[in-house]
Amino acid sequence: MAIVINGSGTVTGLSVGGLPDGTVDEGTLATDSVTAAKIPASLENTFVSGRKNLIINGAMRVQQRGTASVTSGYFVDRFQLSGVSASAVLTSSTPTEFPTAISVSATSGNPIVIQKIESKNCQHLSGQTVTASFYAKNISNATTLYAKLSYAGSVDNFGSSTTISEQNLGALSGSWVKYTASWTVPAGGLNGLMLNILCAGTSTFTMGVTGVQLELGSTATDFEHRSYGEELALCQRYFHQQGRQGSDGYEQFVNIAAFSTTGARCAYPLPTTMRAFPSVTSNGSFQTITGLDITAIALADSGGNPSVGLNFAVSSGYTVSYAYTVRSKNDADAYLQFDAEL
Amino acid sequence: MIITNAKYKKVHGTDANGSVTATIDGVVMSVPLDTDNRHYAEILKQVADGDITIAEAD
Repeated sequence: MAIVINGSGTVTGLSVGGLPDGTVDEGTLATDSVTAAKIPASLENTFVSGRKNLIINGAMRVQQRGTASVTSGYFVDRFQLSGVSASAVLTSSTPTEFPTAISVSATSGNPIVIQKIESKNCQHLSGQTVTASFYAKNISNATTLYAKLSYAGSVDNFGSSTTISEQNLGALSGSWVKYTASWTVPAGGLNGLMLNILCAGTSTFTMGVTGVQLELGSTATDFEHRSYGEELALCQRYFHQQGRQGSDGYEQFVNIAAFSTTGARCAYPLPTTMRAFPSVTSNGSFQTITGLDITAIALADSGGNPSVGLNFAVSSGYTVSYAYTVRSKNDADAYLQFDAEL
Repeated sequence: MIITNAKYKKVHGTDANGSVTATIDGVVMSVPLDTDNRHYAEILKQVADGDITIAEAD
């Protein structure tokens, strides 16, 4: 083999095998000489960063409702439970990476931990492979673990849904283990996706779950930890609660203006634009700081986004055009809830 | 969802229905007439199925 040294000091004719150990150190590589095309797809997934997790509140740290336990419906933010006889938030004996988890129990059937992903966040997924990963544990008598991915029958409407597949992930370990499952999303997935994590068991059985992630690609990468503030803001697109924050029972809620002796209104500012016009629920005792008891709180009109018109009724005593501040009336459990969940 | 006592509520100062007040799974809710709202979508479904009716507003 001819080795040529030209006048500028460049050597040609060397094969790679002719290099001392077949490697090129960092200093030898020209800047930007490694392109994306040269990175294997399996490795490329490890470089994905920022907003890769389609699941909101996967670490289960946000719990605006503050309920200790539910048997169905929404529990920690964005997670819905079904088929459950009891649930609890776990703050000890959780995986090292996750200070919070939930446990779900059942006496028959399958307790299911559900998160629905709205259509707007699924528009890039048709024909793509997605991978779910989560930590789960057999706390007592839980046997087999399953993961199911479904899609909504129409845009954001899960009244009917189609199962892509339910995967048997095998025996549920007695210690926290990271489980994974992958699916290819059909075109119908653009209507919105629903991830179900469920288990079977005997007698009264209990499963722990946390660290839920669903991401593009066929590889489960490390969990994307977002700041608490970011996660809370993401949750508030679907649910917002004001109240239960103070301990003295006199929490300030909103300013209102009277339009009659029994009715007053406000434009309640939501913390973010919600997914849909929210349903409104009030709980507990409220009063104006001038001492008028609020007898009813309801939507003033057809709703709104990102502010909601609310009426605050009293039996009598408002002065038209006067402004009042509404507070809880010696009730630390008083709250307003705004629900635009799926 | 178990829905009872569904009743329209008018927009203040008009004759237009603005919301539905209903007891949903035991909780009294004020529900906007927004088909993207899951509670209203379910109310419409149960009305269509003949399971409930919505009372006229006062």
